[in-house]
Amino acid sequence: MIDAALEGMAMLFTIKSMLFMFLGISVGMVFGAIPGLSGQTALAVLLPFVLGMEPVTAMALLLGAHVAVEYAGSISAILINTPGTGQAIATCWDGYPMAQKGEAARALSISATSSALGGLFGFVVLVAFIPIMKITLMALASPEYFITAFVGLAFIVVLGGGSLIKALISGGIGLMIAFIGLDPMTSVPRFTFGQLYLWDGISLIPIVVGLFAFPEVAMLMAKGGSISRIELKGSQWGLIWQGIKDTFQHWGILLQGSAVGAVIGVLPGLGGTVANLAAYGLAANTSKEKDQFGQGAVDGIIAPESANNSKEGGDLIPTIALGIPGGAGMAILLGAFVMVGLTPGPDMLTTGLKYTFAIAWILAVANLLTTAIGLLFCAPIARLSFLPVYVLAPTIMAVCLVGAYLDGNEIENVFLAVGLGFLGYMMRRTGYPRAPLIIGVVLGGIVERYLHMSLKLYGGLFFLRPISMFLIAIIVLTIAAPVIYRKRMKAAAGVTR
Amino acid sequence: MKLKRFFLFFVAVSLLPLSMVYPPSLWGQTEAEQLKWYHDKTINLIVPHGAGGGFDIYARLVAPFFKKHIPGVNIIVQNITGAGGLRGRNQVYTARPDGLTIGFTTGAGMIFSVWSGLEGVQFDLRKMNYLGRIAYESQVLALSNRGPLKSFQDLKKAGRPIKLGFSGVGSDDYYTTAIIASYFGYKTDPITGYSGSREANLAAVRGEVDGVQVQASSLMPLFKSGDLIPVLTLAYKRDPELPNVPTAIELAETPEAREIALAMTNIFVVDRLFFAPPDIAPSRLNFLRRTFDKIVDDREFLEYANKAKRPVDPLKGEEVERLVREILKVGEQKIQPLVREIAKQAR
Repeated sequence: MIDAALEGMAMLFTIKSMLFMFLGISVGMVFGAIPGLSGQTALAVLLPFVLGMEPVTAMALLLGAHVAVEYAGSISAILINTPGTGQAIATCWDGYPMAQKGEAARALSISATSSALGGLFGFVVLVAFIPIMKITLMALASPEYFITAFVGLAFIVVLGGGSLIKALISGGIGLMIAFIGLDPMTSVPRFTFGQLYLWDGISLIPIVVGLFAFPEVAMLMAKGGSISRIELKGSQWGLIWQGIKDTFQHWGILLQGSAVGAVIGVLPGLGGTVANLAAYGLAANTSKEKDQFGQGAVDGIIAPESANNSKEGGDLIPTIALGIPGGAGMAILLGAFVMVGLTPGPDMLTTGLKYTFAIAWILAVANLLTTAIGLLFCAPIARLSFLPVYVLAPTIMAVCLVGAYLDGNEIENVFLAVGLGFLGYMMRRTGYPRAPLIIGVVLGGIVERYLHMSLKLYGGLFFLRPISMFLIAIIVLTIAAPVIYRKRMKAAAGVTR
Repeated sequence: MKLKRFFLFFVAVSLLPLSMVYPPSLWGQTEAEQLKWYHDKTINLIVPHGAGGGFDIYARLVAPFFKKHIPGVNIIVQNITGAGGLRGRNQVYTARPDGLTIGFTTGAGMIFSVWSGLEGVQFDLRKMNYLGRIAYESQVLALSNRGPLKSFQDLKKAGRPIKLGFSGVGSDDYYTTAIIASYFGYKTDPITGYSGSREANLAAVRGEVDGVQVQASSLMPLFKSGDLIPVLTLAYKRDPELPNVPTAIELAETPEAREIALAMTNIFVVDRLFFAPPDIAPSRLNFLRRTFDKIVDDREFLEYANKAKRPVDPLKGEEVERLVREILKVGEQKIQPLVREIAKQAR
């Protein structure tokens, strides 16, 4: 096994492979940062070029792009409150407030550092799981998927901000949006009003553009000034260094976010958006700076950003072990594996083990390289948040509307985004939290599907499966432990006083 | 090359007097005229499937060769997904029949969407024009190694409906498995809701469902490792890589079952096809079909496809058209009512 690990590393560290990785990362950065251009599109664009390449070079190119997209999605999330990809939604919620405080560079740097560390965590998980990949996959079934997604739904309450009722209403609207489209079990069109456009449901990018980007632009235009409420003074490098330090100081949340990402990665079908949201929700519950969430909390950036990168390691597990891709991006990678002559599946753990290790190494190196590039560009990118509104507002509007269109090449998306813009603005003005709505949209369909399948396959008591019970126990402990701990501390403090 | 050009020139010149007697509108345009017409025009190749997927890869492999064989033409591959591919297929069908809009999709998917009476279908498969099929991949019914059922005979002896995993009711495999089952003496219990065939396959490996229907090539490694047991293929002949797996036609015990097995096999024989809107001028349709034939015969293309590990097994447009008509004829009496029934039950 060590031989294979070294051989895999040797295959990667050639000038050619590294150059192609760099190229892949550059493409991924651009695609990730523009809302509507997804990681899948980046991979699909690069796919024709891998024909005839050596397997490791091809993987370096594609995985480089794949990893970079995960990081770059957070750039627009932090700067203009619109995630470049669905996997960076929760990053908006504390990244953008931090940018408003004039610390965009710090937020970008936290995001870059925790992406790298999360990615490395994913790498460790991937390598650690190589011997037991298959057993793990065999153990987790629909009920476990349901439980994981259901816990995510519970975060609606946590992310409500002030009012529980308002959070529930917002989450309810999200669920209603989630149920638009063909019923996943019976394929009966629901709430589609005879429109083919609505059959696939409403995709995330127009919703996010409408709910988050438009209200911000409207507020900015009303208020004038720039995104940052304070003026640019001095060098940004101090803030960047601060961001790196922040990430290492908050190692508890970093580990927690990475672990959430890895677990969700192993469950193919849940995806990076769920990882990002769940890690944020959990951190909002366990973080020490809980009360600052939504106002630029450091933990609120670390958790989601580490999760969406560590997810990649987990995602690769079913792809490699069984030749069954863990997500849409992985499905394209799988196509590429075949095109360059690798056969994903059980062979990758025996005769092809060196390639499996090469992929793990690529993942690790690409993460570090992405972060290095990201950190280097933090300062110039962060300056965007100090631009005056008359330059910024039209640009953001244009980018967002084009992004909404690009998401599926549907013009209806643009109208939808504008319409939801009004909803978002009203919600903002009347103090309705918008995060629960997004959670409802993302998780509604998933919860429905797995609940249905669990009931049908395992009956009404499906959650009594040993593995399900184990999972429930872990979740209860993670959520309850900090609460109990804090109560005890308070009680202890009360006694001494 | 020069000889060929000379020959073309010769043909064109020799046809010249003919055109004076009969105007082109009567006897159709020559290849040279078609080539001239296409010069500087843009063909839209609509792929109603996601970027980077199997259909998309084929379309993008073929696209540059349209340019090669129709000099001066431009071609754009557009992924128009939505409504399970219906949006893109409708868009091709309702496009102007000038030969500048063509599509590439699954024939099986179109047939089942028509038969099930899916709302929103705007196309008539008898009027649709077919340019040719690019590849055929045999479908395989595979059972989980972790379940109690290990062979086709076990299905009949199971004494309970067989749990099969699908992404949704509308999928090809959903109808196919149910129809085969009803003529082969067992029942199925479809488990829908998996986010795609990949997740359904994982569920089968895990033993959560008894089996799935898959494309043979995509899961060959899992057959070799023994995680999935292939028990039946939908093909005229056994798959050379799975010599011990009988075809549905072989397994049929009654003449009726045999007829159904053949029809179901035909449906997948016309699976990956290029199509065009109805009412295209015959000369232009013929030109597009011959261009397709040239592409799939082009050694450079075959090498290119081979490099990408995409099998090419072409069938001419005329043959596809004949098969589709035959499938519709047999199917409308015997299979369509069943498909309707299955779709109704699912609701």
